[in-house]
Amino acid sequence: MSWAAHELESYFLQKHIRTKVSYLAILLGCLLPDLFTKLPVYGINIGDITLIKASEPWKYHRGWPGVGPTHSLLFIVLVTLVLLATTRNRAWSVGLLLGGAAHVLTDCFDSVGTMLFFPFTTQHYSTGMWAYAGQAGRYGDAAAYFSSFGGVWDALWLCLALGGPAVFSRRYFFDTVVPADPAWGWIRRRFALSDSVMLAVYRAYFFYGACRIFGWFLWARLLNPERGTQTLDLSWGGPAWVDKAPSFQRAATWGGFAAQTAIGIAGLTVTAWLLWRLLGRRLWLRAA
Amino acid sequence: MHRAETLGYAIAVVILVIGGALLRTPILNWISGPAIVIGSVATTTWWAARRSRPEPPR
Repeated sequence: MSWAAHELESYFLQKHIRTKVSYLAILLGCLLPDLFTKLPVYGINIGDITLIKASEPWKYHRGWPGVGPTHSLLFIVLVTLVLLATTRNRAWSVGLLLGGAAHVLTDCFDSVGTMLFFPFTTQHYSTGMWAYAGQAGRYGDAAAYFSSFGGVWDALWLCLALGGPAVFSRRYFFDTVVPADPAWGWIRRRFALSDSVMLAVYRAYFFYGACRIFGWFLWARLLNPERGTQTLDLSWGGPAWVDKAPSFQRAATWGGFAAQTAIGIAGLTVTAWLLWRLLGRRLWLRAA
Repeated sequence: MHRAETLGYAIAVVILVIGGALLRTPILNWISGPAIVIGSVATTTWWAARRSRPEPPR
């Protein structure tokens, strides 16, 4: 799984989308697949007791049966349609669609990957860049992630977000972000916020995401009691010392992989086209 | 006001990085992390506005 990348990619998308889009919806989309599904990956620790922890977190989080379908493209499309029907707001729908898709694609880089084309295939797509280590608990996962290419991945997203500094400016926020989304006006009225605090609300996930990288890295490398054995390992699929989640739901041969991918792409394309013709187009024309 | 904002962000960064490294999850989670940023800026800008208010005539 990715850590700070999901917060930081929202600003990158906001900067590069050349149409009217809601930043809040992008952020919601970037967080959505993990929003109500992550708790059982680590469980809740009360003293020595761990509650509601999945026995095989990687299967629960990314597989089927499990909540793996939340990390599929069709799930994001369906949630977008529900949002379009309820809010009748195009900027929100586009934002949620792009943010959600970004989350699903970003998570393809760990060793477990995501079921991009569920339910047409349960095949997982993964580059295996770093080890999925949710089964090691929150702190074990943090130590593994920030001792491997996972931390580098977050740093890359920080650089990409900082590559468009204008997106964080006061002018950009009040001239571009606020007019695109009526929710900002509601937030200002509801909570009587000043311009400075409104801007802080917009920038909050950037500062949180960026500081999260440094905070966890400092802990993993300087304060972690097991840092002697949990060393920095910048090898592909590392770190080698972690109890890595096994790859599963993946075709054994390249031919099988290609066939499953073709089925997945065809199924998703046809379903998305049907949804657009039967429902999406009507909802889009009705929306503002 | 801009200096007060900058101070607010600086305080938030220190809390998130140093406090986050020491306390971990209670600080570095998706609710309290952003709330610390917003709270820091809201506090410093409120404090700056209060200080710049002219004294009432005696």
